[in-house]
This record gives sequence, structure tokens and C-alpha cells, in this order.
Amino acid sequence: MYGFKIILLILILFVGCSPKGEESSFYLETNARWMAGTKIKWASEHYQEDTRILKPQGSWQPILEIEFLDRSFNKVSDCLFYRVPNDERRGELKIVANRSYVNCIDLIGEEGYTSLDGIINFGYETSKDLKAKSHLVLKVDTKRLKYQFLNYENLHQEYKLLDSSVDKSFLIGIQITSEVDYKIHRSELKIGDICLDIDDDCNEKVKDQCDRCPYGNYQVIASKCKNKFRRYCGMDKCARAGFPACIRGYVASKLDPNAFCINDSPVGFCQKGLRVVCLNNQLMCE
Amino acid sequence: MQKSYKLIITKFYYFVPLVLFLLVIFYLSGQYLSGTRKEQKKLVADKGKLIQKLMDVWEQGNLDRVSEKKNPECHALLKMKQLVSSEFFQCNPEYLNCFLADYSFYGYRPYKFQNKFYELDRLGNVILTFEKGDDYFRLRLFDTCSDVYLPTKKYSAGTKRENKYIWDNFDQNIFIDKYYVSNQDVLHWKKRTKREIKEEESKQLPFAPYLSLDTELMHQYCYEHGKKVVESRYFDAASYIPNKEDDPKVVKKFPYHWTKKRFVEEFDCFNVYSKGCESKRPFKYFEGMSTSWIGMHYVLGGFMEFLPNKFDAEKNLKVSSFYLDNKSHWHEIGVRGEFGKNNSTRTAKDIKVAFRCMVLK
Repeated sequence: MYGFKIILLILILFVGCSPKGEESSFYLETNARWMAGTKIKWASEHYQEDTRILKPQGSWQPILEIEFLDRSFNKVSDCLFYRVPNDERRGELKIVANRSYVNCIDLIGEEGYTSLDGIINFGYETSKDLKAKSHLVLKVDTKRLKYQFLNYENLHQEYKLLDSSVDKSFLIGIQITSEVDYKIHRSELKIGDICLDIDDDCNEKVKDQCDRCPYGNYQVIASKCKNKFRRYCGMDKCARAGFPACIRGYVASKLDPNAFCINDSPVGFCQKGLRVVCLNNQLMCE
Repeated sequence: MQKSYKLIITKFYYFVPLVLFLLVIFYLSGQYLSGTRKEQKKLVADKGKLIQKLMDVWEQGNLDRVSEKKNPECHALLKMKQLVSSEFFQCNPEYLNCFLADYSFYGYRPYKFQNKFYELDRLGNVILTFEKGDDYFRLRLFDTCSDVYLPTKKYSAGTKRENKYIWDNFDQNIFIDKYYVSNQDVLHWKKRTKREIKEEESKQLPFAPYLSLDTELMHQYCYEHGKKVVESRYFDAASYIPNKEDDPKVVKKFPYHWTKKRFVEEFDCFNVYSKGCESKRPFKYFEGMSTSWIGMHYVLGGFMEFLPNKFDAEKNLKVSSFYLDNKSHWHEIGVRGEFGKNNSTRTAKDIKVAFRCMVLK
């Protein structure tokens, strides 16, 4: 009996003194996926600041949605939830795989594929400089878990002379996949489908999904917005009879965008012998 | 009493080695797991370095880097060294194929698809797969070498005297290919889309422009790369020396891309590779010749080029080429002929016409 107790004591001491593996495994599992990250979205507008998350105590809160590429270059995402600590229980982070393109809030009751508990203080910061290497830092008590998003999309870059068309991503011109393989077959759009639509106030009525067109896409003037245009999947045949008018531009035409949809509108043009007409609020050639 | 004492001793005799054995196993497994974790952590970190390295290899296409390689993937490539300029090897999947032939990263080796170390996605982007046992990861490389940005301005299309084709590209990001579409590009596309490849097509020099009489094929090629054939007005915008203001009252146009002189006595072969230049300097493919202000090549001279024209559909051919001598009136920006119909130069059958693509982001 004494011997058994001694063994137990030694084992407890040994386990207690060995390095804690939970945090390391949480980081490895998430980093293996998020290194292929393309975007961070805030799951809740209340937690957009780089401050400690202290309330509401005891409840699970969606904090971030991290979008990344799976092995087939599909964009998939994880939702990061935090159970805010209270007097009885310490805080916990859990990461839920978002397999069905839903809002993170809809996954609040789901099991995480990894978690980290015993947290007293949690906060995070995102890099302000998009070219900085670590884009997300999870601040868990005294630890800092840094994530570098290799596929991060820099959508606000302004192109300059001699730039290439693929100078937009964080690590220029290359994408890496994560270890995830959801085997998602995203349905492609068809030729003739609208892949981007803009209202008169330049808001996106149909969000940009032109990367889902079978191949290329083309623009049509179909709103008063002078900066962005409706896009259809398909080959650009503008200026031909029965097809959209080509875009001349508002600066060159000096036309007030409010009056864009008139017959012979100078903001569009057609081939010789054809005229620009306004059909179903779109500039076409006939 | 003595018996029970003896029993404890006996038990200890068994227990002590057992405890030590368990501790050793526990320690070793801990070490093993921690080692694996460290290795995994390093692997993840080093994937970033691998990406950076491959990106450099991909963008530089430096033949010296692979000149010592003896594998068959590199053999054909190295034979081209004297025939084509180094730009051909930049962002070139065949160069990468040669580089990857004996490459490994932490035991991950590039996977071979149908005899190549790369595959092409729907739009022709290169995909590499690195595998180790059952594990693998993939990289997609985009072509960062081939096109250049057309800055936003008000432009005027057509000849130097034409002033009714005014347009602008404010709020539109347009990128134009620097060079013609090559035979290699078209072969890759035809293989990828399972189109018929004629025997003579596969024997063409890979770096020479694809010369065709079929405009539908040109449109289809560019479209299936998410692009379109460069239109005449964009080619003009990329060729004319730009006005200082982005929105000038009158768009001034000078007929040549290297000088604001309105008349040039004789062209040099670098700016206009015309008939007779072959005796002065050989035509080297992918050489940065006849370069415009945005970095587009072969503005004048070189091959004839199909440029669909949305303002005036009949003016869709850049006639300026090495078919025409130095004094020809066709060697001016904006001067166009009609593809397939213009017999002021040669018969349509003799004319070989190149093309290039552009993309609107």
C-alpha cells in the first residue's frame, strides 16, 4: 500500500512538473489551418477593439471569423468563441469549423475542434500594417499566440505604373493551402449570371463573386454609380448589336451620372452604325 | 511481524523497477511528443520560407540556377538559352518543372501529374503539390510577370489626327500583357482544355508567338484565362507617350513611343523592328524591344497583331511589322489595317498575326 502511494506521488509530481501541452496543441492545430488565412472578419461588432473581453460573464461569445484556404483552394472558415470568465469558472476559447458558410453566431452551441481553458484574461490584436508578418495575435493571459496569414488579401492597394495584376495579395502571387480538406464543391456561376451588382449609391447589391464565373466576366453600366459597374459572367462582346455598350467613362463623356440611362448616352459607345439605348436600366447597343 | 516486513521488502523489490520503468516511458513519450510538436511548429514556420523561395525562383526564372542539372526536365530548357531572352523563363511552368525535378522540403517532394511537377487550374494558374507519405499541401502560383498596369487617365484612340475616340479608365484597373501569347502558352491551354493539337503545333518553337488566322481561337484563349484580347484603344493608350495631366482638355498624341518628334528620318531596329533589321540584329524572342511607357513591348515593328476595335471594327490590325520596310507609313501608333482583308501589304494567307491578352480587375 505504501509502495503504491509512493508511486502515485512520484507520478503526480512528474506530471505536474512536465510542460503544459494543451496550449501548444491549440496553437499547432489552429496555426496549421490559419497560416493559409485570407481574411479576418469580426463575428461581433462589440469586440472589434484591442481590449480585454470582460463581459457578459459566463456566456459564449463569437469573437472572430478566420477565413482560409482548404486543400482544394476553397475559401472556408473557423469561428473563434470565447466563454467570458465569471466567479465560478475561468474563461475558455473554442474554435468551431464553419463548414456550411453560416454566421458564427449560428454555431455558438457547436463543439469546437480544439479549445483552451483556464483563461483569466483574453484579448487580441490584429496588425494594422497589412504587410506585417503576424496578422493576428491572441493574448491569452501572459501568452501571445501569433498567427501569420500567408494568403492575406490586401484589398485596398492602389495600383501603380509597372504593377502586375496579381500584386494584391499579402505574399505576392502565391497561395498555400491548409491541411483541411472539406471536399466542398462550390457551385460555379453560369454564363450570363450577374456576379457583381451595384446600386445607385455604389453599394453592392450582389456581392462580388466573379471568381466563381467559369472564366472571365464583363461590365455593364446599370446604375448611377460612376465608380463601379454591374458584372456578368461571360465573354465581353460590348459594342456589338444586342450586347452592352462599351464604357467610355464619366470623365471623358462629362455626363452627369444621374442621367446615365438615356438613349445615345455618351458614357457608353457602340460600333459604327449602332446606337446606345437604355434598356431595362442598362446601356445596350442596337 | 518479520514476515510482513519481508513482504514489503519483496513488494518494493518489484515496485522500484516498475516505477523507474514507467517514469522512463513517460519521460521518453513526453520527449517524443514535444519533439514532434517542435518539428510541426518549425514545419509550419518554414512553409513561409518555402513560399518565399519558390516565389523568387518562379519570378526570376534564372537559368544559371539550374544550369548544372542533368535531369531531362532541364535538358530541353537549357538548349533554348541562346535563342530566347531570359524573360521567357520568368513565371514559366516549364522552368519550375526543371527546378523541382530533384527538390525536397522537410521530406516533402513535389508530386508528378502526367509527367510534370505541376498542374494547371481552370484559369491556367500553376498548382504544385508537395507530398510526404499520406500528407500533402498545395501551392498556387500566379503569373506576376506577364502583364503591366495601365494608369488611369483620359485617352484618345486612333491615329495622331483622330480626336473623336476619347475615353477614360478612371476607376478601372486594366492590365495588358507585355508580350505576345506564345506557342507554349497555347499548347498548355489546348492540353488543359482537351483541344486538338495539330502535329505541326507541337513542333513550333515554344517561345515564338502563336500565329493564327483564327480570331475566334484568340478570343477563346484569352477568355479561358479570365481575360480578353487587347483592344485597339487600350493598345493605343499603352503606346502613346502620355499627357502630363490625367484629364487634359485636349489629348495630345505623338506618333512614336520613344520620342515626341512628329517626324523621324529613319527608325532604329530597337524601336521599330522592320524589314531589313534581320541583317543588323537577329530577332530574339522575349527581348525587351520597342517598349512603351507602361512597359509593353512591340509597340511598333515585330509581328502584325490582332487588336479588335470597338470604335471602328474594320481597323483591327497593327500592320507595322517586319514585313514592311523602314519607310512604310504603317509604322506609326494608331494606324490600323483590317485583319484578313488588307492586301496593301501581302495576301491574307501570308500574313501571320500574333495576339496578346488584357485583364480588367
